[in-house]
Amino acid sequence: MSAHLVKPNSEWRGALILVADDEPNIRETISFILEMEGFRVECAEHGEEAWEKILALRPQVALLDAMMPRLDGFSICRRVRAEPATAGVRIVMVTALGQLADRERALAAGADRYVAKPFDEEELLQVIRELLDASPLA
Amino acid sequence: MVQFDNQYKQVKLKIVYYGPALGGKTTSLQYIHRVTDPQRRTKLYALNTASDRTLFFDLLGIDLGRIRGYRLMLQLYTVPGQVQYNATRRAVLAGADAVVFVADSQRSQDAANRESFANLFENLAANNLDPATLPLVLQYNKRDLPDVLARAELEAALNRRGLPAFDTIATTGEGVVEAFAAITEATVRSVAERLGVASQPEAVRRLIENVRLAMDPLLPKRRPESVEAPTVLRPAAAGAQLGGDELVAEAVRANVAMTDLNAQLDRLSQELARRVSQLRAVAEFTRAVTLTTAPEDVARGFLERLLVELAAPCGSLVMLGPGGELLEVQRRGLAEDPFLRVTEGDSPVAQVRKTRRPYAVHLADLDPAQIMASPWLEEMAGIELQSGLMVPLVAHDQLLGLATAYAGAGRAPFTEEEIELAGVFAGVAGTALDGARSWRQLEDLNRSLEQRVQARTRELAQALERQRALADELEVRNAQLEEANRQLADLERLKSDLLHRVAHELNTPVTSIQTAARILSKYSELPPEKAARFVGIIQQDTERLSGLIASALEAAVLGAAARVAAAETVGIAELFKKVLTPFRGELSERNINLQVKLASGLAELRGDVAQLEAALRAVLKNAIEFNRAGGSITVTVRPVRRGAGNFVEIRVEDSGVGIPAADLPHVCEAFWQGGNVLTDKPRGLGLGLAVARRVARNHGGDLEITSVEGSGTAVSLLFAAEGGAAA
Repeated sequence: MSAHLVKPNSEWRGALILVADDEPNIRETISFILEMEGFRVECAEHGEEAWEKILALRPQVALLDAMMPRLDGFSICRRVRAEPATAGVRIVMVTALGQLADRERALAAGADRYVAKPFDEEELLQVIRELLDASPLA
Repeated sequence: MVQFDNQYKQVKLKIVYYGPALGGKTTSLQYIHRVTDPQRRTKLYALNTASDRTLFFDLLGIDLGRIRGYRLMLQLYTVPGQVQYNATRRAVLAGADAVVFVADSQRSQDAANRESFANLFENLAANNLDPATLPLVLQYNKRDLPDVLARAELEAALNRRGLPAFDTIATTGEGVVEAFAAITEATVRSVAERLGVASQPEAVRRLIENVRLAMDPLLPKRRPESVEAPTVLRPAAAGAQLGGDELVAEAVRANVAMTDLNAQLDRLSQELARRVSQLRAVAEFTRAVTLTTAPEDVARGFLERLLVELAAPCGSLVMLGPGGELLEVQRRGLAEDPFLRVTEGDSPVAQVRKTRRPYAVHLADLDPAQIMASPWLEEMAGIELQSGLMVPLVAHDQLLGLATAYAGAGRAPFTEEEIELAGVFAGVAGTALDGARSWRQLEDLNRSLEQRVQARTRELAQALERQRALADELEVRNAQLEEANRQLADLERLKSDLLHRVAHELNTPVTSIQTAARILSKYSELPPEKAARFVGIIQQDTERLSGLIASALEAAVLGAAARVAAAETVGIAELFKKVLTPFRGELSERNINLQVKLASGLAELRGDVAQLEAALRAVLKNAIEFNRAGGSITVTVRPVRRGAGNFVEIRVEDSGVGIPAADLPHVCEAFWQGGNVLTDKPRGLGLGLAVARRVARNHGGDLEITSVEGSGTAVSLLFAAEGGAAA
């Protein structure tokens, strides 16, 4: 944790991304694209599973759906930030709510970025890359 | 010899009972004393000699009332009959105005009678009294004894002049009063002549009448306390012992004077006692009226008291109004007050107003012509009133009113004392009335002040009440506003939730479709099975999207439809088949067992087929979505009754999560969905049950829902079984 270095693009490959969404079609399409871009992908069907996997796997980036059964995205976000072991996990809040208030709410909960559904896959990839670029070296 | 006493305004008339010893003189006097009203007589005095108890003389005074302002007092004397007491007899006879000769009717006393009668004339002459003019009557006494002289014999012996003579029995009183009345009448007449009032025969007659009124044979029985033993006085002069005639006469004169003084003293002390009692009455009245604060009570109390004190049966009280007019306050025993008939001229009212002094009149004192000349006196005479009195009520030199009192012939005229007393009463009453009026004014003032305070207090209380009501209303309005605000907030939240749900429901499939489509276009070298998968995703979510849009449109259309658009008959089995088909996949996928039980004989429903399908679909959709994997759904169709109505019930029971009791009332509201908007996965737009209820109501029925959280929900769609509800 001594220095922030900008990592070369090659270093993105193999980064672990968590995709948490209760919609199977969304999980399937997004994880396909991420895998095609060289990321490792883990999926979660509901909020509790997402929190457990973040805690256990410490992904570089977690894509969290705001509305999920059992535990919503905002709550997971707060837990991640409150837990020292997971505080460094980058969070992208993905929501179908699409209102400005939701964006504010997501950032207030501790999310790094906010992406509204429906999104352009290139836009999502760009956000992930940026976050990985800004991440400190492990 | 009439004795005038100017100091006391008295005229003394001396009547001497003369006659032989033991003839009945003293007994006659004692009888008169007994039957005379004690108010009108003195005690009976007996002056005996010190040694042998021989009677010197008796004295009895009788009040005859007034004539020309003078009180006429009769003084009745007896003389000792024994021969040896001639000096005494002569002395007693001195100054006599009349003589009653009491003869003893017993034959044995014939000589004694004659001797005494002759002796009377000798002594009259010795006293320079003229037997020709001196009133003289005879009593032939002891008529009840055996062996009495015949009346003619007595007349022949004693009454050759034809004087009035009376058979009497002094021990029983028979004839005594008659004899007394006769001598009194004769005496009064002769005095009246000498006083120059003989021209007023009425006045004389009244005096005589007074004598009769003062006598009552039943008085000793009625008032036994009035019977007194004679008061025995001791002779003042030792010279009363037998000696020279001059000496005896001197002694008798001295004793007569002394006895008379004694009588006067008695009278004065009587009068004093009367005055004291009057004073007491005044004091009592004063105290009573001082304690009375109501002017009416003072007035009433005054008139009553006045009439009682005056022993007057009637009278009235008038007050002076502000303009000096007379206002009758009270009237007792009179239809109209005679004195108040006239207020002008020399009427009593005018006189009393002017002099502020009592006015009194006694009709018997007046000539008939005088009475005829005054309407008020004529009126009095007309209603048989004899005495009238008017007194002024004065306070602070101010005439407040007038009081009158009247009495008939049965009562002696009002005495000066009485008139004076009435004046005192009126003065007290006037002062008390004045005080009571001031008090009343003060009270009225106080009352009006109190009333004003009360009114003001009432106003204040009312204002306060209004303010309170206003505050209450404000509070209610506030509460309403708060409630409205809360509802608005709820509505806001609902709207926001709804937007979230709609956005989620629409954006989720759109995201999948869009992403899948990008994959297909971006990665052209995808293996065919992968490509087919993404195409499948696109198809699946496209269907989902169109389903959503269709149900929203359906809800919009049904929500607006308040009635059945078209009544058709539809087979129930056919209806279920059509509605259930889209759910088959999900049912088998989640292993949910669905059973339909159709009551026998029930084959058709009548209604708007599109609406019926939508309602059934909505209910079944809920039963499936909120069921658990491996759960069950039971659909029962049967005829039921609700109150007086017949319905076809389609009851859908599931074994799902159930609905919290708190949410149950809301499940039929449009866009309502239970649970947390973020974590509970929404299914659809929350319009299902609202649509179903609307359809049921459109068909004359309703939607009933019961649920047990955790074990399942039962929804009944009721459709009116009228007309086409097939049996």
